[in-house]
Amino acid sequence: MMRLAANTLKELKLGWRSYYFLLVVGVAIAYFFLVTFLIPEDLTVSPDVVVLNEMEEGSQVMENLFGGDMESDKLLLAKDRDDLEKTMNRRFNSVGIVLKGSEREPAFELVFQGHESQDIRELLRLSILQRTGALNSEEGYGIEYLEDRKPVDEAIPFNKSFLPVLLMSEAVMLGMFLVFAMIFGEKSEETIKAYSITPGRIWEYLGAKVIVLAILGVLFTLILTPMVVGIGPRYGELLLIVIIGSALSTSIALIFASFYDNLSQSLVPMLGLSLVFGLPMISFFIPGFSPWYLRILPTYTILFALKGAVFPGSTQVGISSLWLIALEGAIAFAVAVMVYGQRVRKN
Amino acid sequence: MIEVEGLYHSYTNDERYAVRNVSFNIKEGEIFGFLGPNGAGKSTTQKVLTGLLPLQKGSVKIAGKDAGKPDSSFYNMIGVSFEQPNLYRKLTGLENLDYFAKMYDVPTEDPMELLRMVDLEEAASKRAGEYSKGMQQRLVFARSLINKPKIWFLDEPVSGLDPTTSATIKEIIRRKKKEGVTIFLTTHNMHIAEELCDRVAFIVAGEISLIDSPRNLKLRYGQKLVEVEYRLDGSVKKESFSLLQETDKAKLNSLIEKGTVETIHSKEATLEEIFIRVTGRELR
Repeated sequence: MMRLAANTLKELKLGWRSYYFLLVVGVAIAYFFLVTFLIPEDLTVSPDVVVLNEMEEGSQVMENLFGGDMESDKLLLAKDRDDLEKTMNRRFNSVGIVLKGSEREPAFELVFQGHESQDIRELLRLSILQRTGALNSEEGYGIEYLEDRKPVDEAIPFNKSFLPVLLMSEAVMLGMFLVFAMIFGEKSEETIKAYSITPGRIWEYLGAKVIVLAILGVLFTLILTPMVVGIGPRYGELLLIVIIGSALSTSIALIFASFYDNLSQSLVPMLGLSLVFGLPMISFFIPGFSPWYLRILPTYTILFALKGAVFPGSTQVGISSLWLIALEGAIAFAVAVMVYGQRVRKN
Repeated sequence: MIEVEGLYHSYTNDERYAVRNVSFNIKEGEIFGFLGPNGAGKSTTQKVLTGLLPLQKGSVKIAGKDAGKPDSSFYNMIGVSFEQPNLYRKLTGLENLDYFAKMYDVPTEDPMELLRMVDLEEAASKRAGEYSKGMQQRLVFARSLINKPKIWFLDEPVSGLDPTTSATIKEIIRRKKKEGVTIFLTTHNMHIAEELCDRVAFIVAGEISLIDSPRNLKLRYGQKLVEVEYRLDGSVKKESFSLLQETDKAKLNSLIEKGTVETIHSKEATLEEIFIRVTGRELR
């Protein structure tokens, strides 16, 4: 353990003097500004509705249709057909509704810009039918949610929803990039050869790198998370996920790095690895797209566990799912130690 | 202390051996020079002896321990000074030694004392990357002594050093020999081998062609000539005389009796000349 501590202290000094700590702090602050000031809180785009009432008595229909939105600046009343078209021409994101018939037998004409998809057109049609009572939505069917998605998921502001992704790409996968830099620096200095003729073990040598990169991940998490979401997250759980995730990604990167001598040689596998491990981000933003080949990636579990820790109750993937990631990390580390042991003796 | 028997090593795991049937023994407290040109198999042999390369064929015992299965006790008793300055360039000289000292399970030297020994005390808190090449080499040399090794492997220990620093390093090597340290010195520098080694081995193309003491080699391969400068008719003349031929011996005696001899040197062969004669190769 003394040698592991000495190796860790050495890696901390080298990391500090290579500006890794400064880099992590700088990136965390930059991401805070990005999330807070550049990404909007809400991306919902609702179209303006231009209404032309050609009914003789249409006040109840109007009330049914628009209810509390009557005073909204999104609802515009046209005087005649010409006015409706001119108003719609001025507003690219608008739809027109022409009310016809009578209170008892209302009819509608929908006016579109032309760029709306068939799905949107059908959705609007059904929405109007439902609001006017022509389509009974309360009977004949029920709704069951297989995943207990809490309202909290819907209440997460769009910009803050990026936080788990940033934590995974930086705090967890940071090790993947920095470990390549660390290993290639040492390969050019040939210091591993000097280490190899001491009683120091390979696991102590590599373990120190895993520890230091986990510390950097924790530092990033502890800077960015409170700045973005305050004290809401379950921090103990969050840090545990970051540590386990970082250990796994660092160990996998160590295996790859052992086969190359410099950064240019390893560029393709390094980018390939980060691309594959980053794929679960697609499922994060499009939850409906979660095929098996994304779900089996360790970063899938890590990403959703991070979301659960940052926004408690937003997902069912919890800390209990991490035992498998920890096991994968342990196996990857054992493989890295074995590969390094062989390669050091080959050189 | 070091017993090597029938050592072979192939980097390609076939019959193309970098080292072939190498055998030698080194006694405790002896300085053994391993001499040969670049690519002769010196470094390969040293790497197998220090556990850096696996033992494929043959037997290597270091203080009774099998170099093919090195354990902590094996590494605790050896020190290796590499030719390349393989240091942590972002750590200071002192931090480099401190770090490596913590890797051993045995009592270690005081890092500051080692730095003082190689004249790096002033640069102790300077990063190794800012050291000159000579300073880095001295730091690597000092690092190899951190665990008070019983068996010390030195690879070109004075290569690229100025004469004063070389003299300091050679003096430390002599002192360690007196303390009983067994030294395996790899070099292609015949002068340092002549000065320091009790015995030398010549290795060419992976095979040892000769093992003996420098003195014996000189006696065996020397020409038994003396080179004399003497005064004749107001000018200085230079001539070589055989110590075996009667006419030369008589002429030399006559010059000595006349008192005209100004300088006289035995013309023994250098190790380099012997190496070329024995192996047919130059030390490049």
